Amino acid sequence: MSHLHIPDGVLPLPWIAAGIGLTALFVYLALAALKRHDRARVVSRIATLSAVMLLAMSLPIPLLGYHVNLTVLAGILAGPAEGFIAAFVTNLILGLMAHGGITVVGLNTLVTGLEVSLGWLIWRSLRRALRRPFAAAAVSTVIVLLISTTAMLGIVAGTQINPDLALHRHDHSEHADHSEHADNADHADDTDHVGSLKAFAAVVYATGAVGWAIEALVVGSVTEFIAKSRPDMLSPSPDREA
Amino acid sequence: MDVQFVDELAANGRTPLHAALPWVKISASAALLAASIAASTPVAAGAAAVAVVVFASASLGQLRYTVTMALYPVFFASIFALGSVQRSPLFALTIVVKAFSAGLVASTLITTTPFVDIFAGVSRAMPAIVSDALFMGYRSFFILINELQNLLRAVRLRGGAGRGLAQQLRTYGQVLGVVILHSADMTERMYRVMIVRGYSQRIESAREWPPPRTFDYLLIAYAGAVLALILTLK
Repeated sequence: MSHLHIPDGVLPLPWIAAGIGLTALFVYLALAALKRHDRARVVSRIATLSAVMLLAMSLPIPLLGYHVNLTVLAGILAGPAEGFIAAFVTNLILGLMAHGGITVVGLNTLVTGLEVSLGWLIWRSLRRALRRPFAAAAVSTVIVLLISTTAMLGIVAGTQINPDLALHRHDHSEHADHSEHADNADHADDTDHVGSLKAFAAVVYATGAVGWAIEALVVGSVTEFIAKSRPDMLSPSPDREA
Repeated sequence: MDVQFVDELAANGRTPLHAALPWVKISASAALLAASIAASTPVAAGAAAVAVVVFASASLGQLRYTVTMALYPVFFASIFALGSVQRSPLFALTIVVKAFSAGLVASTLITTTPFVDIFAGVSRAMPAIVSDALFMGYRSFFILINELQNLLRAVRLRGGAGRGLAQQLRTYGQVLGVVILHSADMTERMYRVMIVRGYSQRIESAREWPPPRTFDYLLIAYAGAVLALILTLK
């Protein structure tokens, strides 16, 4: 459960707009960072990276029904700038496939982009500390997915998806003069929201932990394989540092 | 999510929705998606869902598959709804129904419209690097998935991925590693082809569409009317 999977119609409009706005800003910054690079090379690299992530996300693991994302691997191989754009491209295609909402593409890209960037950052730190590429990549993956899942929960908490706010707002305004009752109702709403969030967080962390372990194992294996076969792909080159 | 099958349906289907103009389908889908999202009461969400099912029915035999695709967002909406089902079952139901409608709109659009046509519309609002990567990434996906399937077949023929889940995941990781190595070679080939063909700023798409027909006008009018109805119910 790395990317959000939040369907359309769940999140409030300001959050959707903020997600799209921030994604546009980060894509712009990524493009600015890649401005001096060979455009044809950048396009071909982002294209294959997106294809690899899409490939990983389209293959469910038998019995578990989980799919890997390879966002951390994308960060390891391509760096944050190309990786972020590849994350956007992948999420856009997935959104059009009803795999996560179209309106949530912005927020999904922010979360997966966070995974790509953090994956790149943590991998660079850990590969010096841990000798085996498998261990460095696997540990990076677990840390990144823990952070990104918490970020996703932060989004859910921040959106204040609250049944009473959505269905009984009109009732509250009708009884606005009964301020004491309104305050009590708001307090009850807050309590319910926290309870719902706790239940949701419990489900997400419980299912997520299994997913992180699988993702870590796969990303670790892929990284180790690449380290043995094509170590140059894991070496930071000036072209991938952006 | 079988992207290959979705692409096959979109490219080779013969239904009234396939015959409609891509920009008409994209516009109608945008209106229906907006209606699905704007529906804030159970009645409005139900009305939007019925309207979307009617729209999706124009894809005839494909409806079963598109509904199956739309159940994926329903699963995740159910997780959200789970937290509020005791407090407000109607709110929980509204969330699930909205997710279904929005998912069905997206799945109907992509199973009746080739991706090239959808991308041509979407990419006009994007920077050249992103839109070009979108086109080429989607194309690359099919090359890589064929390769992955061949490798997985080879693994099975040689006795399988190993005993135990951990061993199997490591084997699949190595298989993915091979695909990624090949994808690096593919990147290099793609780069050379782009240079040889004189790629400079943007991949141009100069496709011309015929004038809209009666069904196209009906589709737009229908989607507009549904959106207006849902906004009225709001």
